[in-house]
Amino acid sequence: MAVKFYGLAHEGKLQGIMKVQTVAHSCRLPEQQGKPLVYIDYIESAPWNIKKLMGALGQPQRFRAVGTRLFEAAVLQSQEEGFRGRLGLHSLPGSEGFYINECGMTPVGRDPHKENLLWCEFTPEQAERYLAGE
Amino acid sequence: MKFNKDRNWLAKRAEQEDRHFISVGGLISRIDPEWQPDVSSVSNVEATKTAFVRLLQLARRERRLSLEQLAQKVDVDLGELVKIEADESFKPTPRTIHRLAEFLKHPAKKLMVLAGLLQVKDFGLQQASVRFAARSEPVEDVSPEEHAALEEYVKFLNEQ
Repeated sequence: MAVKFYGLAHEGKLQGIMKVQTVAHSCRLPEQQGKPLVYIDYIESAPWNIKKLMGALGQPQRFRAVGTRLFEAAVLQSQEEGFRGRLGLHSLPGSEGFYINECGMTPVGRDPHKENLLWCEFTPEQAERYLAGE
Repeated sequence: MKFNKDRNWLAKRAEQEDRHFISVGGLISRIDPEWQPDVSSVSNVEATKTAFVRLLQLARRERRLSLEQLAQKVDVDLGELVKIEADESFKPTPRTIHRLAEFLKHPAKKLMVLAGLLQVKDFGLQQASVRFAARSEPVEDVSPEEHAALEEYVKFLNEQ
């Protein structure tokens, strides 16, 4: 399937959503150039689950790790598709630190065709380390 | 699909996620467009709201950014930014305020107060906001860019 949507629901409400594509993009890292990957087009947790946002309002977040579970689903789908966990996405400026420092993705370069957003990519080894919690 | 059931793994990843915004693509307003934070106890002070709008306008103009460019830079809905600047009774979403705060390098909580999403008893902030609102009323001539935009819009209206 070329496009897939994931929704995480609880208490009858959507808590997070993600859209992935499997044919529109391919790897850009030199060591895996041109190989297929799962591209995360959208991923987002509902505002009431974002700690920084709710903290500024003086209110607790409702659920944790919503984005994490969606991101994990993308990695697992990549493995199921035979792409060995290869992932790609265009990170928004405020999220670059998360994908590079926390998830361990490689920043490949800014994409002039996508508002100069930073393209980040997972190799199979990085995906395995992410799933293992390293 | 076999998700990781290790609680330690999930706790660590949740901790990492909590330190960041991990959105890609900006669909958040479509998850629940009706959602508003619980601000039932908030009473908006008019002067702080005016100060918030002026702050945003001046900060944007100092950086020579149009509303469209600002919306792209901070990844918020352009329509919402237009409403913020044009309608002082409009209540922006918390995410938009947070994104603006990060971009402008202002404390998010203070911007939430100015935007009317949070109530804090801060007489100093209210006074400063009144003074700023009064002093920042625009009196300068229309700039060449504003004039060009105005001409284009008037031409469009006359062609309809």
